Amino acid sequence: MARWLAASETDPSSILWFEEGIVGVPRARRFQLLERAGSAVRLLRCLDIEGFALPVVEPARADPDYRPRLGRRVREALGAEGNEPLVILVVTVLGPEGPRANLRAPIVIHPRTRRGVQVILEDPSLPLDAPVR
Amino acid sequence: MLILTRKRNESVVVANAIRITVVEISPGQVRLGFEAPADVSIYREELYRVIAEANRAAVERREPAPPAGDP
Repeated sequence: MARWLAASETDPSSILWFEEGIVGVPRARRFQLLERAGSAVRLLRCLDIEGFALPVVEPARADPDYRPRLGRRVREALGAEGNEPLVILVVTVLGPEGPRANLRAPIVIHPRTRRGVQVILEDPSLPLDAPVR
Repeated sequence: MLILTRKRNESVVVANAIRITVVEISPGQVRLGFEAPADVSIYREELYRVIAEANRAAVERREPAPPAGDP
């Protein structure tokens, strides 16, 4: 198995801050995004809870047309100014039929402020288990 | 649980920052309005629980994570 890679553990710039934690886990606030060669699945690893890590993928791998409406409050919460781009990732369950992505509650990260949030979208048509290609 | 009685258009204030107003009362249902800072999320509980469960499943079914300290 290839190794997970991230910036140095001691490098503060590699740490992502989730003010509210993750949905259902409010004390999970500091994360690192790990990736490894050859895999589309990345790992959002929590630095506050040992063993807590969420597999994530880019949403386009589940739906190329995914354009969630995030709203002004989300951009404000992340400290986004103007039209600064945000990174969107979706939590993925690794099941027997392959990975499936939760498009209803994306993880949104601001690359400049290093702040992140998990947003629950109002649109009930968004699946929680979209197949990942 | 703290229980307060409110009439239509009356509010409660939480933590100096969040105001919850009773907007409409009808049989078996109330409509509530929320004013809160942008970094405070507000969700219906049943939906919140579904997403929390989906997160839990994702954590439990992943392959082993590297131990903390392994970059």
